[in-house]
Amino acid sequence: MYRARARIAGDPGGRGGQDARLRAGHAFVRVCDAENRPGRKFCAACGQSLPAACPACGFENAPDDRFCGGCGKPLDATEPPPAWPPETAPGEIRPVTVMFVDISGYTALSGRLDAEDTHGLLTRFFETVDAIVLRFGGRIDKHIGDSVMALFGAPVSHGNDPERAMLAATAVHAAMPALSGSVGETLKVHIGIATGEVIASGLGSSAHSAYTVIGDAVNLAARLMERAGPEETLASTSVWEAAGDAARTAGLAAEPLGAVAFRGIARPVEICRIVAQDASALKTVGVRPLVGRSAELALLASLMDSALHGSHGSVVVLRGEPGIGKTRLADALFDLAAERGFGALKALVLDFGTGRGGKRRARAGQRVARGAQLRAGAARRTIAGGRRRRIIAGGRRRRRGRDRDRPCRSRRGRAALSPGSARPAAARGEPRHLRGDEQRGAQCRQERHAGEAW
Amino acid sequence: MGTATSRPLLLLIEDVHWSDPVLRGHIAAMAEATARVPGRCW
Repeated sequence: MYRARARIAGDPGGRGGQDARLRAGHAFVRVCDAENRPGRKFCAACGQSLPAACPACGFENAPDDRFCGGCGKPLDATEPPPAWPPETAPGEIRPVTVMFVDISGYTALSGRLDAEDTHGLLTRFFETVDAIVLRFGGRIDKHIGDSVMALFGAPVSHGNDPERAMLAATAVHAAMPALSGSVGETLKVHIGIATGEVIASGLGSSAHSAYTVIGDAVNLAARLMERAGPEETLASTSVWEAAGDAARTAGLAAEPLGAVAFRGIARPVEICRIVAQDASALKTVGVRPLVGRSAELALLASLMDSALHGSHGSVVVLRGEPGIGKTRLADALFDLAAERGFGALKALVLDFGTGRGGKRRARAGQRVARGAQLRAGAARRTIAGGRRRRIIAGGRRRRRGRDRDRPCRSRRGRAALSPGSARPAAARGEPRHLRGDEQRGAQCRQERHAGEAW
Repeated sequence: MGTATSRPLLLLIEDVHWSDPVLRGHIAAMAEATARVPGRCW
């Protein structure tokens, strides 16, 4: 208790802390010379955290106390975020790229190591591979022995999921030497990638269920992984074709291997070996350089600083042709915000069930931009891209061919409101998911956030 | 907006062109509120 008081007060004797305790709940609260009205979380003069009253018993606790000194109840108890997609998500048919990653020679390796070392090695391996998959926007479906099954395109499609999967595979290979050095064993992986329509849903029983996908692409990816040798990535040719020019731009190349028959798959499948065309490209995989946007970034940084030190916020509309680098610039802005101590929240509006076409998109963009400009009364800027710019592995591309994310056959509805609600979810204090009725189709969801818990 | 009262907040909304009228109205309302919510508030 003494330690907590001293820390609040900022003086070793804890007098200020005692002062804060005595005054908390009365007319003013103070941790320095300034007096703060009740309800404040931070001191208006020095910025230090103010003591917080327990919501259950009213006991004044130090700002960083985790349990109440009066009743023992947890002070920072927050509801864990709901699982998304839910384990009971209804089935939907959607194009998904599946990737299997497996350690080459694992059986011999595990026979040589004791169980504890094997456990530690697998933990490090999964940490490394999972982080790479997540970095490229994939989802870890499951770990099977020493294998990782990852999904790109479910539950959320990015429009370039085959490209993401191949880049992730390349990054996994590139990460193995460092991982080998840290675990003291030479680790190599073999990877299989396939794409196709699968059924994505919650699957299981009342005792256990999980979101997963079922379909030929899963079986094919597993077979491709089995066929691949150490440090090799095999993919169905459809994966390479779906990625298009973007994969070449990202420094990847495909070596055709012809049609191959796989056990359990009716027809031979055209496959190819995915290789890194340019070794230097591997260094930039996942860290797309921001090229030629220093002016825009400076403008965004200045707006952020003015919001930080000024009296009101700002609204910025990023507008430009597909692929020009809006997302990359937004990512840079996101990182800037994190550096400046902003809470940062990113939401992605999905196109499930909405209309398509350039006119509709243009009208929507104009309407939002006009609304922001007319209503905000705050600093506004519109950054319009005037020309198309190719960025290595960056930018969103127009969807094409098999990669196109079609409306889900069982989820054609559109909803931005939760059922039975007259207000948007975020307006009811639910910032985690700006999406709507899960049974009818998500509209918008949080992608990531930085900083403390929300 | 509640979060923005305790610490500065950046909200990125991507692919707004896919949003429906209700969501667009909600986004516009949030944009309007930025004029009232300080970027920094202890």
